[in-house]
Amino acid sequence: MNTFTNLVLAAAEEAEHSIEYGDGGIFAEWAWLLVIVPFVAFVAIVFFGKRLPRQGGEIAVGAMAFVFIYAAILFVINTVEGVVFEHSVEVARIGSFAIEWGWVVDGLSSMMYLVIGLLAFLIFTYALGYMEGDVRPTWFFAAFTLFAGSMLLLVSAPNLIQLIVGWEGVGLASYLLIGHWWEDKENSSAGMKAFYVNKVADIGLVIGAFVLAIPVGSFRISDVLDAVVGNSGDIEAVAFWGAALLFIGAMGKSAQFPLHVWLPDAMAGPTPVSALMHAATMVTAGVYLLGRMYPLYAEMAAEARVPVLIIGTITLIIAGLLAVVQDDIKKVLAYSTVSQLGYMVAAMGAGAYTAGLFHLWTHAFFKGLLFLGAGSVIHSVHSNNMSDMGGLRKPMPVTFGTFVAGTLALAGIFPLAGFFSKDEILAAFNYEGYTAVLVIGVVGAFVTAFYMARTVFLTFYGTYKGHGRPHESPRVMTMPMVVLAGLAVVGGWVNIPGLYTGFTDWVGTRAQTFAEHHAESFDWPVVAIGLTAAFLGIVAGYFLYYRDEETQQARDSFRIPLLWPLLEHKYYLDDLYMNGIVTPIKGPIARFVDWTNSYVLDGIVNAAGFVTRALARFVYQDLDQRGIDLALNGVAYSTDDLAGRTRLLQTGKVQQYAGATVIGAVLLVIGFVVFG
Amino acid sequence: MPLLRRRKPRKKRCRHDSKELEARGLELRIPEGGELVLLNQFLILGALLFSLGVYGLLVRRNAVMVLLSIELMLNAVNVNLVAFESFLRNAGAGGQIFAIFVITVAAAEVGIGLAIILLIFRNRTSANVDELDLMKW
Repeated sequence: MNTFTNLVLAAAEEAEHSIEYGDGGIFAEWAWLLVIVPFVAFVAIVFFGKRLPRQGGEIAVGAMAFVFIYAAILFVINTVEGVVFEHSVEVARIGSFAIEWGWVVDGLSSMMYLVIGLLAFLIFTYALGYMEGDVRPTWFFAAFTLFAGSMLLLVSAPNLIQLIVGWEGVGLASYLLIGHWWEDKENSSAGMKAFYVNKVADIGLVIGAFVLAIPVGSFRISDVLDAVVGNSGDIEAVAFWGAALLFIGAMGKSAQFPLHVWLPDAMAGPTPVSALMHAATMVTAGVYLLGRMYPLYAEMAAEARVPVLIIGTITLIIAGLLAVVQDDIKKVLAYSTVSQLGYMVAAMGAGAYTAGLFHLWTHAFFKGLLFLGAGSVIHSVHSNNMSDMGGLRKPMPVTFGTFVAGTLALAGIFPLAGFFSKDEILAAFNYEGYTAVLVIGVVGAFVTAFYMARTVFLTFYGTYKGHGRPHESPRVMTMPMVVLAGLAVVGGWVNIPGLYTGFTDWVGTRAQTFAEHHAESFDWPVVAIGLTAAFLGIVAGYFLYYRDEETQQARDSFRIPLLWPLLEHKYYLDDLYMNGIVTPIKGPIARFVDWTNSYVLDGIVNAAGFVTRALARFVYQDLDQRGIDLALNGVAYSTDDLAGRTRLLQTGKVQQYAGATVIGAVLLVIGFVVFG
Repeated sequence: MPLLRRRKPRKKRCRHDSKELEARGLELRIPEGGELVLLNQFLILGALLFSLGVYGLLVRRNAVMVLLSIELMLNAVNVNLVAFESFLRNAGAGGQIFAIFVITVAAAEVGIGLAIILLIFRNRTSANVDELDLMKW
């Protein structure tokens, strides 16, 4: 066996599970600002956003700039001295369980803060351009800020309750954002689908949290993990079930087979939402949960890693194959995300904690970049379908250049970010002896390179097939793409085996440590196989979709018999869920509700209606019509009648009036004379 | 107003009882160097003129004649005012001033009235008041 142990592990053995880290000073103490500022910004946008020139977008971008800068400071502090800080405030108490709110600053969470802050800042800036002229920009930015804030709440959680609150907040915000253009039924249905599928998985998360918390007597993650590290017998009994249930929760948020169905539909939302959702918030939550609870999976619940590995492996290959048949550019990227999440989860399952998180880190950059690029293309050609694109290389040079950088990074071409992270995952498969998984991972790498090559050739090469004249996006949109392209290139250089392994130290900086294998140099055969697979994928894409441009479309419509219908229908999973689960449950419930409705509720309602009607009839006929109305009408009729007679006095003849006046005067005189 | 109307027998009212007048701070005055003209004579003239005016006001069809009748009534009142003023001491110049006021107002009234009648005549080619009954029920 390899005797390489990392610095952390060596130190851990010396100091018996307690390593001296810094406490991060005032910046860690004030890290609650990271969570509060987005929520304050959310409220501010809701109430004051409409009055601002950018409809509230400036508040959102400002809040995210703050989060980014603060996260960068925390990250630097962590890099320099290693920070482990945790603080909790008691909010409420139920029996012996304290409900707490707090924040964690350690290597893992500061890595996530930085990813969220950086990606959110860039994508919000991009959204300023992308959402210009939208129907509800204020609400969009409010929900977007809520999205990022909920994710920060989740990541900063020192206890499982707060983690669930943030988790649900992310789900709510994603529902709002996916259905942002709810005028189309399809979009609001996609939002609901995301919400429901996540709810199914959340049941696992909530039960898992309780299963783990009850034997420990505390919801604090550190207490649970301390019990795990200390080999407490109470928790050992439930460790497998707790870990498996938490993973069900992670399967929902991180879109693992068979709960991945919501993610492609979530493309109904605006593109910046997809970008943020796929890069930094939402789908990374599941992987983060696995990472945060990793000490549990490392040894005590090691059997629970088997389903994690299997599900991750299935996900990475089936989602990769689905991406090949998509025409919608965003759906290609969505299935690509599912596939990459499969890599991360499979890495976690294989015991490669660092490799999984490292892929999360690099994936955030290039997937965020690819979505922004796709958004830029969609913004320009007003269609999501690649059959409406083509030849965009010339009119959109910046988008093209950055998109290609993202594609090569995702395909895993040396020396871009994806190469290092994917290689580390494949090497971990090899080291742990999961040969079958390694083979599937390599096939997945080939498929990844193939569908990305297909996307690039269909979108940017050949002839333009859409309408109108495509144009480059404004600078506010291209600048974030350029920054992300830079990161997609260099993002992987923070963890080069044998050269510099800063990333390993960052995510290893945490209170509870565990043993993990870290390769000291590249696993050269795996590097060779992985790179070959990626190159073959690109070459295959080149031959199929580029070499002879005339037949490009013919080839795109080429369909492999048997396999194509299966992929086209997404393995019939949606049909299975609809006909197998939703309809059978919906039917009896609907019938029962209908029966209750027509016999019980309607009876009550009808009785109430009958009594009310009788009462109303009495009031109407006897009280109102025969009483009040008659009196009022009588007054009105008599006034009308009298007026009709009296008005005849008004003849209009002045001399009659004058005569009346004279007669009156004479009568007055006579009166004075006689009675005076 | 009720200068001469007091709780007295009716026959006494026109006798200009000097004592009664003196009791009210008034004094009967006889114009100098002239034949004594009785107040009654002026009052009768005024009454006749006024009646004539009333008659004209009520029966004439032509609006101009109606206006003329009103003038007649006003002037009848003027005669009364001036007569009372000249026969009563201590009345100040009230009667004359009032007469002048009446003349002024009458002049204004005639100015406006004639203008109205003129416009009516232009619009309807008639100044017959019987036809001007638009303002009825």
